[in-house]
Amino acid sequence: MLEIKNLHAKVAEEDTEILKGLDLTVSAGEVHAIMGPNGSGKSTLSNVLAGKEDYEVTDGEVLYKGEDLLELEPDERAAAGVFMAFQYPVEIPGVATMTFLKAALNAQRKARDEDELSTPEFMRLVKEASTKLNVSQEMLRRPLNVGFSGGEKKRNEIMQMALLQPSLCILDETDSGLDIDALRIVADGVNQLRGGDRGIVVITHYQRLLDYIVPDVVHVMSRGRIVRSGGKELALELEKSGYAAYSEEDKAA
Amino acid sequence: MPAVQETIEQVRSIDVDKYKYGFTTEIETEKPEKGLSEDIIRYISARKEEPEWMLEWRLDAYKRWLTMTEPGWAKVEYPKIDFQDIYYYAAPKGQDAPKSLDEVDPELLLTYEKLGIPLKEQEVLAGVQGARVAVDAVFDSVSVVTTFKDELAKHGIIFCSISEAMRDHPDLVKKYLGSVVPVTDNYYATLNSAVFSDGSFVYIPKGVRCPMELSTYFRINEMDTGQFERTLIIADEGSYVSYLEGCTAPMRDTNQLHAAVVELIALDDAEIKYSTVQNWYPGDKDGKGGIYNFVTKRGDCRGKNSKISWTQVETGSAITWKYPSCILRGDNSRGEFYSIAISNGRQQIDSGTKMVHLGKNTSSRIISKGIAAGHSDNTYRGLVSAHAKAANARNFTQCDSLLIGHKCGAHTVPYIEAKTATAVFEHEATTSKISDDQMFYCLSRGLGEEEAVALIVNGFVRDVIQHLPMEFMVETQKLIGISLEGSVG
Amino acid sequence: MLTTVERVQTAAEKALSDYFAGTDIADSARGAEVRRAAMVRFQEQGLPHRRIEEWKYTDLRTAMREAPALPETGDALAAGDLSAYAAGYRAVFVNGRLDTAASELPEAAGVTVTSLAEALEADAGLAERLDGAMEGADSPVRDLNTAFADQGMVIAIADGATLDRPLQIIHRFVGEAPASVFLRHALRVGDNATATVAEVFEGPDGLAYHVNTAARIDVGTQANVTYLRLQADGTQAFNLATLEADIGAGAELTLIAASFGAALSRVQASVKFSGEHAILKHGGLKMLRGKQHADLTMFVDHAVPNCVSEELEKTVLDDAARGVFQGKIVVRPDAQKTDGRMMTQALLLSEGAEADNKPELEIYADDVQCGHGATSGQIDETLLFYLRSRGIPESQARSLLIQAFAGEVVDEIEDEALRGIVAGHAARWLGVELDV
Repeated sequence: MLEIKNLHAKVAEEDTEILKGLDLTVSAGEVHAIMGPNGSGKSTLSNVLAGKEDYEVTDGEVLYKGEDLLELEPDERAAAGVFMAFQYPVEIPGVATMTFLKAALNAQRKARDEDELSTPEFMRLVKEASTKLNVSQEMLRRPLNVGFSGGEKKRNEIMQMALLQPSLCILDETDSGLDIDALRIVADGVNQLRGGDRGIVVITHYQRLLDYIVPDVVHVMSRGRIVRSGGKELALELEKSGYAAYSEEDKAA
Repeated sequence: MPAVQETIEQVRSIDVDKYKYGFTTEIETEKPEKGLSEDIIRYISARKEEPEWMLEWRLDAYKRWLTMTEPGWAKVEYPKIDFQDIYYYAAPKGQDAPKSLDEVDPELLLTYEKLGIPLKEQEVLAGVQGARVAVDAVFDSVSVVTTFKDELAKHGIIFCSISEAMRDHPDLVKKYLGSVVPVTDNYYATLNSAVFSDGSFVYIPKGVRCPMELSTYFRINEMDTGQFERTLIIADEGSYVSYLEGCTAPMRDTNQLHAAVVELIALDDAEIKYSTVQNWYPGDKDGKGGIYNFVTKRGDCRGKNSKISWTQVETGSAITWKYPSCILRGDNSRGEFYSIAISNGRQQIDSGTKMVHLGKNTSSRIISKGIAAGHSDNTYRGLVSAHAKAANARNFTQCDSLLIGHKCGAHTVPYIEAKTATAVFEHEATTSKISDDQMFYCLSRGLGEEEAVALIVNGFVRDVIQHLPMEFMVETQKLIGISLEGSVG
Repeated sequence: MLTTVERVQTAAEKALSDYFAGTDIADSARGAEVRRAAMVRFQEQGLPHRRIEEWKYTDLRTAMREAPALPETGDALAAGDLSAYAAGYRAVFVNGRLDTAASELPEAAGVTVTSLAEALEADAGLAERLDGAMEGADSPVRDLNTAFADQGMVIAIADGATLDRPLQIIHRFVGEAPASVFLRHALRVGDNATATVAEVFEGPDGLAYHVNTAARIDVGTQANVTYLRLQADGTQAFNLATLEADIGAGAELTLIAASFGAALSRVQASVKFSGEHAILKHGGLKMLRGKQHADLTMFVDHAVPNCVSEELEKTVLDDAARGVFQGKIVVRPDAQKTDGRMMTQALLLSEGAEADNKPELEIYADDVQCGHGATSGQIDETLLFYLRSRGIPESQARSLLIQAFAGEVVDEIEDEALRGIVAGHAARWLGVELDV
C-alpha cells in the first residue's frame, strides 16, 4: 500500500534536513501509529505525503500502490485515494461546506472516470457520513470551517474521510485540541473505516488517541527517522517512560 | 512600571507654562536683510565659504523654486507665507568655526544646558549626562559645535556640519546630496536647496557599526527667522548607525518657518535608524505663533538587504507637513515607519510616510498612532506602492487614531497601490476615543482625569515607543503628558 | 504674476460642447438655464484628470479620447431578448430612449413610475432635488449629465407602500453606431415603505458607446431600500455614473454595485445620513480583465449621530486590468456614536493587474467606532492546497475560491432573481457553470 524508502526532506529554501532517511511500510488493511516528540519530523512527513510545495524531497522514494506518489500533484494524490486529515484544517470563507464536499467528491470521481453523482445520491452519502460524525446540517451550510470550534473542524475532517472513502488515510495529530467526547466521536468515525484494504496512518504525540484507535503497528520517530517499531504495547511503554530515552538513544547512535 | 509612574509625576508637576523650552537666548546675532533673492543666496554661500558648484546648485534651485507653487493638498490651513518677510540666515556672532567647546559662547552653552542637551564630552563620558551620545548642535542657521568627532574619526566615521563636509569631503557631498530628494522634488525642498544654511553630515564606512548614538539638536532662537537645515546620512555597505534628532524653539507671537531636508542612503546590507522628537513651539492655546514645520525626509534603501527605520514623535509645531519615506530600491530591503503624532490646541498635523517598493522581496511596516485633542486636526497620510517589478513586496500598515474631546479631528488618508500581483498588502485603521470604562477604571483607582488620559495614551502608543532609543523613550512619555495638558474637561 | 491660461480643449471636450450647441434645449423638460449653467461649468473645468485628487487614479481626460454623438432620433431600435429579467418589473431604455413596449411598469397603489419629463411637470420640487449636487457627488461628469439628460425614470413609493417585485431599469445599447447616452433617474421611497430597484447596463462588445447616468435616491423614515447597479456593458463602452442617496431616520439602504463590463467605468456615489439610527450597507464587486478599468468612489456622510455604515468592496483583476476603490467616511462633529466600517479587498490574478485603494476616514466626533481595512494579494496558497488535497484540480479550486471571494458581495443581494443574475455574471466571468 505505502512504502517509504530512505526518505530525506527539508523545507524548501532552507538547508537543514528534517527527514533523514525514513523507512516505513504500511500494508493493506493495517493501522500504523507514528509517535514522536515535537521536532521529530512528524508534521514534515505528513506535509510531504500530502504534497505541500514548501517541502523538498532530497532523496529516497515514496511508493503508493507501487507507483511514485511524489510525482503526483496534490489533487491527483487525492483522486488516487490518499486522504490527509490535517492538524490545522483551513477556513475558507464564502465556500459552503456542502458546496465544497460536492466539488471534491465529483472532482475525484471525474478523475477516476466515474460519473458525477446526482444530487439525491450525493445528499444521501453526505447524510450518512455526517450523522456518523455528529456533523449537523447547520454546519454543512456554513462556510468551510469558518467559525468552527477545534473539535468541529476535526469532526469535519473525518466526515470528509468517511464521504470520500480513500484507500490510504493519514491522520495528522487529529487528537490535538479535542476533548474526550469529541475524541470518541472522531475515533469511532475512524474505526468504522477500518478493515478491508484500507491503510491508516495515525500520527500523534500522545498515546491517548491509541486507546480508541488501536494500532496494529507502532513506530517511534526521532530526529527524522523511525527508530523503533513494535506492537500496540510500545505505545503504552512510551506513555510511561516518555520520549527522552529515544532522543538519547538516537544521540548515542 | 517606573515609566508610567514617571509620567504620572510629570503630569502632576505641570505648571502654567506648558512649553518649557520657550525661553530666548540673548546673544548677538549676525544676519543679513530679510527677504529672498539671488544676493542672499550668494551671501549664504560666501559666508560658508562654499565651492562654486555649490553656489550654482543653489541658484539653480532658486530659479526652479520661482516657477513652483505651494502645495495645497495637505489638510492644513494657514495664511499665505510672505517669503520676503523672513530672515534666511542668522548666526551667533563669532561662532563660525569654534575648534573646541572652550571657544563656544558661554551663553550658547547655557542654552543647551537648559535644554538638557549634553555638549560636554567629559561629562557625558563621566556619566553625568546619561548615555553616550555625540551631538551636532545647530543654532538658527549654523552648527555651533559637534561633539565626539575625534573618537568617531578613529572608526573612520565622519560626523560634522554639512558646511564642513562640503569643504572637507566634497566628493561625498557631491555624489549624494540631492540624490534622494531631487532639487525639484517639492516646493519646500526646492526652497531648502536654495537657502539651506547648515545641518549634519554623517558617513559610516563599510562594515562599521557606529559605537554611539549620533544626534543633531536644532534650535531656532531668532525672531522671524527661517531654519532650513539639511541633513545627509550615508551608511556604506554593511554599516549601522542610529541617529536622533531633537528640535525646540522659543515662544513667539509670529509664525516661523522650518523647511528642512533630510536624505538617508543605505547601501548593501546597511542599516539606518532615524529617530525624531519634534517639539517645536506649537503656538499658544489660541493658535497664535508657532513653527510651520514643512519637512522633506526620505531614505533610499539603495543597496540589497538594506534597512531604514524612521521613528517619530511629533508633539510640537503649529503646522506639521512631514512624510518620512523609504524608497525600497535594493532587493530584500526593508523600510519601517513608527509614528506618534499628538496635536492639541490649534495644532494641525498632516504627516505620514511613503513606502515605495521597487526592488524584489522588499518589505515595509507602518505603525502610526495619532492623538487629537483640543481644537486640533491630525491627519495620517500615507502611500504604499509596489511597482511592476517589485515581486513579492510586503506591507503591513496599522493606523490608529484617538480623539480626546469633540472639537478636534482625526483623519486617515492612505493610498495603496499594488501594481504587481505578488505584492501582499495589509492595511488596518481604527478611530476611537478613550472608553468610558477605561477612564472610570483609572479614576476609581485614584488617578486624576489628566493622569488617567496620559496613562491610557501612553498605553495606546506603546507599540511605537518601544522602537525609540532609551533616552527618547522617557522623554516621550513625559512629552505626552505635557502635550495633552488641558485636553480634558 | 497671475496669468490666465486658456485651457486647451480635448477633442472629446470640444465634441461635447458642439453636441450641446446643436441640441434644442429651449423646449426641454429640464430648465434650460440649469442645463446651460452645467455646460458652462463643464467647459470651464473640462474632463477630470489625475491632478484632481478625486480622479487621481482615473484620468478621464486622457482616457476619453472621443465622445460619440448623441443617438439618432429616427426609428426606435428593438430591445432584443429580455427573458433574463422576467421576474421583476422592467423599464427598458434602448440607446437612451424608453421602449414602452418592452417595459413592464408596476401599477400598484402607492407606486408611481413616470418619465422624467412628466415627473418634472407634476412635481415642482423635483427639479430642485435633482439639480443641486450633494457633497462628494459633484463633478464635470455630473455636469455633463445635467446638461444633456432629459430622459429617465422617476419612481415614487408612497408612505407605507411596498413595491412587490424589484423594478429593473435596463439600459441596453444596440446597433452598430456608437452614441453618447445620458439619463437621469430618481427614486423616492416614502416613510415605512419598501422597494428594490436595479439598474442594469448591457451592450455589444467592441462598440465604443458612452453611457452617463445619474440617480438620486431618497429613503424615507424607517424605509427599507435595496439599490442594485449591475454594469455589464460591452468591452469598449464607457460607463460613468453618479449616485446620490439621502437616508432618513431609522431607514436602511443596501447599495450594491457590480461591475463586469466596459473599457472604463466609474461610479461616484455619495450617501448622506440625514436621520438618526439609519443603516447603510454597501457591497461592491468588480471582476475585470484585459485592459478594463473600473473605479468606485464613495463618500459617506455621517451628518447625524447613531448611524451605521458598512462598506465591503471586492475586486478581482486579471490580465492588465485596473481596479480603483476610493472610499471616504466623514463623521461630522455632532455625529456621535457613529459606527463606520470599510473593507476593501483586491485579488490580483495576473502580473500586469493593478489595484489602487484609498480608504479614507475624516472624523470630527470623538465617541465613534470607525475603521477601515485594505488588503491586496494573490489567491491564498494554503486554501488552494487544502482544496487540491481533497481532489479538486487546481483550476477548479481557483475558480471556487474566486467565486467565494465574490460571493460575499453577491450574497448581500436579498432578491433571489437579482442575486442569480449577478452570480451568473460572476460565473460567466470565471467560465464556470453556476452550481445552483
